[in-house]
Formats: sequence, C-alpha cells, structure tokens
Amino acid sequence: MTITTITEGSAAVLALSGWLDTQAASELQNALDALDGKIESLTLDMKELEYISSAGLRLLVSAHKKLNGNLTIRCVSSEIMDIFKIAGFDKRMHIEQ
Amino acid sequence: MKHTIQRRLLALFLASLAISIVVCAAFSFQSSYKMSMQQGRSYGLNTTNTLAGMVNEVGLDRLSDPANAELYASFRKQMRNLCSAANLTYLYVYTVDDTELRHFIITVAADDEKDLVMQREFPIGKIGYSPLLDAERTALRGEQSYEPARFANDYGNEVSWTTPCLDADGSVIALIGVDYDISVGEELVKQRFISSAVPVVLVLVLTFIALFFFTRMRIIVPIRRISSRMERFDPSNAPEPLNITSQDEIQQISEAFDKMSDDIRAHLDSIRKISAEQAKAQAQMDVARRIQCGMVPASFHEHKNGVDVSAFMESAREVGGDFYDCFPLGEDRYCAFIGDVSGKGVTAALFMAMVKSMLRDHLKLGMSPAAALNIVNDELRAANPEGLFATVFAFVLDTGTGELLYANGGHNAPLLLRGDGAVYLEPDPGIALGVFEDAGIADDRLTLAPGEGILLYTDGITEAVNTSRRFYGMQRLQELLSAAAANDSEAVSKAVRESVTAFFAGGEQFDDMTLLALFRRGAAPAEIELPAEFGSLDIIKPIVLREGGGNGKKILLACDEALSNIVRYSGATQLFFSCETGNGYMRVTFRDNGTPFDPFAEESGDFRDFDGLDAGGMGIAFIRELSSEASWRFEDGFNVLSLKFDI
Repeated sequence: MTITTITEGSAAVLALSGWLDTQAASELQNALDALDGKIESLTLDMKELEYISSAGLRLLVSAHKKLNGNLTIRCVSSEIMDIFKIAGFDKRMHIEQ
Repeated sequence: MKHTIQRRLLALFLASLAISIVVCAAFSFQSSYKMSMQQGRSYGLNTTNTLAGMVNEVGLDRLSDPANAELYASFRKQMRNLCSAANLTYLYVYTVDDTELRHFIITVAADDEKDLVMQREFPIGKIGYSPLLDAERTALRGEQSYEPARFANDYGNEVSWTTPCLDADGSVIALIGVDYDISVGEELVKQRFISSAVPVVLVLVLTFIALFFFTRMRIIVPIRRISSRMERFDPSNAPEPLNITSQDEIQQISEAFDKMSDDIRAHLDSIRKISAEQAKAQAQMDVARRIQCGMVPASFHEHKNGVDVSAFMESAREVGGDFYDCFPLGEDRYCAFIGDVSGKGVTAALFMAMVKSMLRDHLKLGMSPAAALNIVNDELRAANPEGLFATVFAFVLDTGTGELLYANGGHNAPLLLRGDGAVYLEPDPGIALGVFEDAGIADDRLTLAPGEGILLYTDGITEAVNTSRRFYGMQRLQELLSAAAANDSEAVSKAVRESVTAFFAGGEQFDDMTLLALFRRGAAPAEIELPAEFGSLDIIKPIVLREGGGNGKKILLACDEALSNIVRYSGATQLFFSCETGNGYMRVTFRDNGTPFDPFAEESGDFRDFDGLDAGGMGIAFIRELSSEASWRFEDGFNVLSLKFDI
C-alpha cells in the first residue's frame, strides 16, 4: 500500500491507497509512529483505499485513543464503510463518507 | 420572353410586304413603260403620217416660200393642233442636204410657252448641225425606223421618231420628227403602279391580319394556357382539364400534358403510399425487435449456482427467431436451452416467444429436456397455422454430480469444452419442433467434470458468410476453442464473437448469431499448500475474489483474519487451503498442523468493547460476522477451520 503524509502545524493528513491487510498494517503503524507526539489531530483520507482488515482497524482504534478522539476518517468507500459498521466504528469515530 | 411568335410574325409580314411592293413596282413599271412607249409610238407615227399627207397636199415649196406667210402660219396652227391632240411635245418638218445639215422648215410645240421658244429658235431655214441619227439616215432612205431615239436636253426628256415624207413618186422630200415626253409616260407608269399595287398590298394586309388572329386564337393562347398550367403544376391537386378541342397538334400537346400530369400524380401517390407502408412495417419490425430483445437479452453472464454461464445474441438487420434461456432449477440443478425458429420477421419473433415461454414453463416444472421438447412439439402441432418450426437443444445439469441430461430437437451439435480441447457432441439429431406429431425425442446424458463446459450456438455463427462467400464453418469454431483451451465462459463467448465478426468483416450479417457457453464449477479444487506467513494471503486472494463474486472482498477479509490468527498464534509449519462453490454458497477450509485451538470455543470476539479493540479479538469477530457457518475441528493432527459464505 501507499501512504502519503501531509503535516501542517499540529494537524496531519494521511492519504491511504491500496490494500491495508495484516501485512501492510505495519507500514501504517510506522507512519503513525513517526507522527507520535507531534500532532494533535489527524485526518485519514481513504479515497484510494480498497481493503482493510482487523490489523488496520486496530491501528485506527489506538490512534483514536491517543489523539483523544481528534481523528477524522474521510472519503470512505461503501465497501469499507460496511466493515466499519460491522465493527461499530461508525458510532464511535468521526467518519465522513 | 425576348421574342414572341406574334412579333416574329409581324416582322415576317413586313418583310414580305416590302418584297411584294418592290416586285409589284418592278413588274408594273416594266409593263407600264412598255405600254406607254407603244402608245407614244403609235400616236407619233399616226401623226407623222397625217402630217406627211398634209405636206404633200400643200406642197413643200409653197410652205418654204417666205411669200406665203399666211399659209405658213395656218399650216403651223394645224400642226400644233395635231401635236397637242396626240399628246406629243414637239412636231417638226425639215430637210437634210447633201452635207447632212438639217434645214428646219416648221417646228411646233404643243405647249404655248415652248411653242414661243420654237418660233424664235427654230424659224424657217434654221440649220441643225448635230450629226445625223441612225433613224434619220433610215428615213432618208425612205424607210420608217420604229425604234425611238432617246435624249434629254434643254427641251425636255424625250423620245423621238423620224418619219420620211414621201411625194407621189415615193422620193423623200423631207423628214418629219416627232418628240414624245417620257415624263408623260412616267406619270402613266405611276398611275398604273398604284392601281395594281394597292389591291395586292390590301390583300396581303388582310391575309396577315386574318393569319395573325388565327395564330393568336388557335396557337398562342392555348400554348400560353398549357405553359401556365405547367408552371403551376401541383402534384397533389388535379385541376380541371384544359378542354382544348381544336382537333390539331395543340390539342395533342394539351392531352399529352394532361396525361403526363395524371401519370406523375399517380406515381407520386404510389411512392407516398409505399413509403408510408414501409415506415409502418419498419415500426412493427422495431417493436418486434424490442420484444425479442426483451425476451432474449443481447448478452448474459452469470457466475454462481455452481456454473459459469455466458451468452449473447446478435440480431441480424431483420428480426429473426433465435433464442436462448438459462436458469437454476432448485438448489443443485441448472437448465439451459438454445433454439432457432424458421423464417424471419414479426411472425418468427412471435413464434419464438411462444416456443421459448413454453419450454421455460415445462422445464421449470422439472420435466426432463426430452419430455419438455416432446410436449412443446405437441402443443406447437396443435396451434401452428403458419407451419413454422423451431430447432432446440436443451439440457439440465446436476451441478453436484456433473451429470448433464440433454435432448436435441433438430439443432446444431454442441461443442464439449474439455481440458484437452473442444469436441463436437454427437447427439441423436431428433427433429425440429412443430413439424411432425409424436417427435419421439429422447434424453441422453453425459458427465461434465468441474471446469468442463458445453457450448451451444445457432447456425448464424457456423454459417456466417464472408465477402468471398465462404462459411465460417464448424471446423473453424472447433479449432478456435481448442486453441483457446478455455475454461471461462466469458472469454469463450468473447473469443467466438470476435472471431466471427472478424471473419465477415466488410460483409453483412444475414442471420441472428446466438451462443451460450456453460462451464461447471463447484467441485473442490485440489488443496493448495501455503507457506505459514502473512504474505500467503496474496496467493489465495485471486481465487477468493473470483469465486466469491460480489462478496469476494468480505470473504477475503475473513480469510485474512483466519490466516493471521494461524500465522500469529498456532506455530504451524504446514498450512493447506481449499475452496468450493455451490448454489449460492462458497466454502473455504484452512488446515494447519499448529497447536490445537478452537477459535469459537469461548464467547470471545465481538465488537462491544470499542476501546479494547486494539488489544485484539476483532479477527474472530469478523469471521463470525461475515460467515454463514463457521466450524472448527481437530483431525489427524490438523486444525480444520471450515467457513461457509453466501454468494
């Protein structure tokens, strides 16, 4: 998968593209670790994301906790939204379709 | 119009009038001149003869004697009377001596003034010196010259004759000259000309006027009527006929024009009718085509229910009678048929619709293909006034066992698509439906292994004709499919379509082309051994996505979670994967030799504790959520995880 990071002050945008499966989750983990402590809010752009598994979801939950809920997920496809709904993310996180 | 006939006629008339006047003038001048000369001569000669008698009577000597002045004067008076009585100008008596000199004796003129001049200028004894004329010499010999001498001088424009005056002995004693004024003759000519030319001109003018009006009434006016009728020709409206009854060429033209207009009108009418009929027929044809396309989709693809089916029908320009249909029968059977109705057009389309719905109904009731074909044949026999017929090949596949029960009603032999190539099935040919009572079609059977298929088609494909008038042919079809070694219905359908289209490139498609390709899926493919690592997901990904269809990604997510759990926790060194599809489901099995662990033993794995999700447990929750059945068992030293999904 491909991750593009744009940082602006205490805010960052991560554009995710491709397949975020168990194997690719470590890439996102590294990208998030690099921002750790430097930002107060984060936006994940999932416009180009085709797939997400529980390994990826786990990272979203931990990021959400670290940023005290200042995590926005945007441009979510209906396929991935289905997964979010199964996991109940749509009720707990800020998701824009 | 630059020149009208009337103007030309007028010009022609003026020219002929001028010519006739000239001809008339020339002719009348000629004749009048001749007449006046003759008249002058006869008057002149009569007068000279009379005068010769008078001279002899009086005696020339006495007249010449100056002593006889009285006699001379009275003689002169008589001569003048003679002269004016005969319309002559001058009359004179003279002698010619041996030296050819003229010695005038008496000279008179009819006109008073001229006579005074004569008295003064030609007294007795006056000598004339001019040379003698031929007429005078002739007269001196005592002969009469009849040709006049012409001359114009101070005394007028005259002709003159000279007559010898003979004594009793016949010897010439003197010459008598008489002059006649031609201008008198000319006046006469004028009068004659006028009197002869006027009637000619009058007749000509009258004739012209008559001709002019005749031409106008009988030719020009009718021609103008016809021409204005031609200009205002209206193809949709027949005007009153012109009714020209002159019984001549003009009537012929008028009648010919009326007939031609009627013909054109009738022709246009029929063209209009034909186009209207064509438009109507085209509209009906379009409706028929829409009906046909509604009943038989132009293309179809389905990859579920244990089969992989693709079909297409490409209609020719006209509505034809090809049809196909395919549908699942309950859980584990799949039915398909293809057919071709005789003829084209609306009739064929309607017949096709009837045959197709009958077949579908009977097959859906669970009849065997042969039973369905036989009963449809009987029904068609009962109600088929047009004598149409249909060839049909139908089969029912048991997707579990692969048994294919088929029956043929006179249709083209299908191709079996097996791993080692394409082979024509050789079914009992049977008989087309709707022809004979009691068709006696029988079922036959064969077995399709998983991955094997069957191809049904209509003769529009094998009998497609290219520009060199060659058939596409059964052999070409067989070679194409053998070479492709196909096991994907969509690829087969596409390959055939492209091959046939390329074959008749530039030519016209004459017949409907219909094809249905079906491959059996479902039976478990061989187990695949996977490395026990996360990357193995990439190996099973294409299989799961293909077999799982629209649900592929969700099934893959479950597989991803199962694989992750095994790799992460079981410590397995051997891992096997297999999947199978059936009617509406897909089953995935993972076998690993790791530590025995039942993921579904505890009530673990749900999404209730959101904040604890990052600690784990989501994977099993997803597997539970996404699968319709999930089970675990430990068998022969292996964990066996079996997941079933709806597709």
